[in-house]
Amino acid sequence: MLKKIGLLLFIAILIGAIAFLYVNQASKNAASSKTDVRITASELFAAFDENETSANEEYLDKVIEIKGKISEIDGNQIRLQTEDAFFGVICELENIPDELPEVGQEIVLKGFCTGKLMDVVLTRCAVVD
Amino acid sequence: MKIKIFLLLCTLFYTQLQAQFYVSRNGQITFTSEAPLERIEAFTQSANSVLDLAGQQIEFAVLIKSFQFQKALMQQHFNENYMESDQYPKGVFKGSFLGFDTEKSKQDGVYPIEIEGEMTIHGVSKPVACNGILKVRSSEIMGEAELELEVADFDIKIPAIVREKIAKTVKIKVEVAYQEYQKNSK
Repeated sequence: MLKKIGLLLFIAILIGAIAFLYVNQASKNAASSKTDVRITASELFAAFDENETSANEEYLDKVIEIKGKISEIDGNQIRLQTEDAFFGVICELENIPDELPEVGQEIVLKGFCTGKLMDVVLTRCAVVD
Repeated sequence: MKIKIFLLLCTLFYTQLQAQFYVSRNGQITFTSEAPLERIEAFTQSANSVLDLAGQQIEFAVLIKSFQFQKALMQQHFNENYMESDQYPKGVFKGSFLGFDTEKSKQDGVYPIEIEGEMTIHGVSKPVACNGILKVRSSEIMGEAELELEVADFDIKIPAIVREKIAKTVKIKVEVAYQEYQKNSK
């Protein structure tokens, strides 16, 4: 009888622990998530520029591996060039790497797509080696 | 005489063309909900803002999905259940301000301003007014403002189960570093 209670208690605690960990899991980081889409900065920007509604449907919340040429670096934002004269794709780095990439460099980054304001914005980004 | 007037008009017209716009693409917005059972805080650093000094207009735009929470589930509920950000991906503010102008932007200093305009969140638009500060330091302008918004005002429905965990009034803190908009730069 005591053994049974012990076992039930153990299972209850186990379920409790799993539930606790599930509820409190930290926000996902793009680097450790599976890539949904591989695309260039120009292509992604063009998709949003042409039809924002359908681009939202296709890309919002997706993990995007994006390739482009760096036009500017501002704090933890790496901005990638597109065909547009003024705007591009902004990749917000989750962590600032020890060695910053250089303006003009071709780079591949991975992040979550959150939409387009003036630029298309990807958050929680990491540089892909 | 006519030539003088013509030249004067040209100068005025030219300075109007130079009329300044200040832009930011990395504005920081923090919102905090303090409820009896839980404190929720989320943060974005990709807010866009435009400051039109000649027209005394100020605008903000935020991508709701760019708000980051510590817990994945909070971010999910925020987007899926409360803000319905697939349907309403942006939060936008359009308004005007008093207390700052092109003259002031040329002098280092701290300038209190009054902001008034329309806030659109979750598809609902509401008039909003608040105070703020613009700090000028060698041709860079920093903006700061704090305001409170009633969650219910924007048709955001909080189920009874979590009512003790989510505040009815949310505090919003804005910090923006503006740069003068140069036409030929990216």
